[in-house]
Amino acid sequence: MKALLWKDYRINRQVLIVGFCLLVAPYLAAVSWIWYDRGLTGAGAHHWAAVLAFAAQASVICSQMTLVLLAGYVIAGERRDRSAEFLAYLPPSRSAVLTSKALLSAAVALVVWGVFLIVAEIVVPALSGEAAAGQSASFAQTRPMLLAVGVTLFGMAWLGSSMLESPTYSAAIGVVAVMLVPIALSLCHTLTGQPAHGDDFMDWLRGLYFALGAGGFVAGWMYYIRRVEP
Amino acid sequence: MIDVSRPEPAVWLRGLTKKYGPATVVDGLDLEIPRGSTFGLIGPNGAGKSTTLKMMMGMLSIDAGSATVLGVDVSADPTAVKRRVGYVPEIHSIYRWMRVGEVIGFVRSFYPKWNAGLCADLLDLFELDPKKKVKQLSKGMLAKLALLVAVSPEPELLVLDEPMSGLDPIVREEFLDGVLRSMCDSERTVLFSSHTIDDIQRLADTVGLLYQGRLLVHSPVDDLLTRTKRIRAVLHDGVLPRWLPETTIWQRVQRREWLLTVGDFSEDLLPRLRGENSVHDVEVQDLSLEDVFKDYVKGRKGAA
Repeated sequence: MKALLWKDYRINRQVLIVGFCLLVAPYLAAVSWIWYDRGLTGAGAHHWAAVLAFAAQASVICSQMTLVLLAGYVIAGERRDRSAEFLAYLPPSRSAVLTSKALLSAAVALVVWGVFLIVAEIVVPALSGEAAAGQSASFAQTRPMLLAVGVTLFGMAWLGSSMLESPTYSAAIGVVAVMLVPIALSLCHTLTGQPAHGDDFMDWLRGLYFALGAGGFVAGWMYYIRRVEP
Repeated sequence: MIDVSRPEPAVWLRGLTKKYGPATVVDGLDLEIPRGSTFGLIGPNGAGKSTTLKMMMGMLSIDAGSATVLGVDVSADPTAVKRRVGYVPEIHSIYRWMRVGEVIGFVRSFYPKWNAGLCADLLDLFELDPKKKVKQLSKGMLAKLALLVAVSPEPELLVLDEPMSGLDPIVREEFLDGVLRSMCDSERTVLFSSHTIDDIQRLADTVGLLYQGRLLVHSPVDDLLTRTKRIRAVLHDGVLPRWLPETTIWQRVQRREWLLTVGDFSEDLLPRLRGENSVHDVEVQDLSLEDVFKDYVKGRKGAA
């Protein structure tokens, strides 16, 4: 498993570098903005808290792209450059191959959400006290939806990756799925009046996103395991 | 059914079939390769050699029939097969970003057994630099690396798909007479396909001729060469052959010269050939494996 993890890390290194940039760029932008606006020592803790809370939100939104790219590349990338054929005649089982890819993806998701939660839940409150609580609370409300969108992006791109040879198309499947679900739900609302606009609609949307993402991931896993060809 | 009193064959294919759309690439192939033998699979391009080997390795789905390798049903447990079989594909797709040493370390981690001495010897023989990246290797060097990682785990069965392609003549010779011969002389079963019939004749004890997905010949090499003969006869003016031996593989009439290649040749055949046909100057010629191969293929093409 160690060898497979190392291989998956190396193959997807470019995506991980892009992901790292997407993760830290909002924070760097925040620091730069404060520096430009007030000077690093001139800004108060409240000001830092507000800017960091915004940066954390932006970072986790940008990092959704990392997950969809990773899911698209992690299986299809090796198929595209034919190196999957090399692994196919070596002893690791298909579930071991897939587990390694899933572990790498999980590690990336953990880093993305871990950094976000540390900043949003520990750093920002410590700096601001009560002052940025309102902003934090409004950001906190969007977290389940962000998570749901991330699950769909990843799960559907993973499904595409398990079936296709093109990482680009695989990633696109994730993006298209995220766009299609609200359209389908709005259409359903127009035709049947259900789900009602407002919270009900958002609950449905979140639920569908989670279901679609989880379903895509499981279907992709099953398809890859059953598939004989690399 | 397999005779239980005999040891299990290394490879046992029963009605193995692979289709791509309407085209049947491997057509109900039955093949049994005993353990410890060196089996050479020959056939023209598109005969289904690589497809057969890939199905055996669990890298291609089987449309009908079954493949049992070292007693394991490939469809049921491909991983168990891969642990005990070394495979060199025709096209090498080793990770291009890895260094040679990294490829060796990566592959080594998956096998329970690894002959480090053999691996080091082959690195020397092939002049492979462990620090060099795979993308910097020539086609020949890549073939050497693929061979090295296939041979080093000392697999019970070695499956080589065109192993010598891309090797320069000197390394090819060293590999044939050194590495492969030692593999073939051991208890190990070796199955290799090649366009180069000379390689097969030098190493294989048994040969299989695949044509359009069907096995035309499956025979020990010596036996095949003893049984298959070319008869050259001169026809009398204005006559054509009237009788052909049942085991005729291929024939050609050019002016008065009649050439025919027959399997299961025996001297008893000649009096009847003379009696039934208006010929004189009948002569029997020995054939090389390459001639046998060509005549089988030409015969099939002619029949089609």
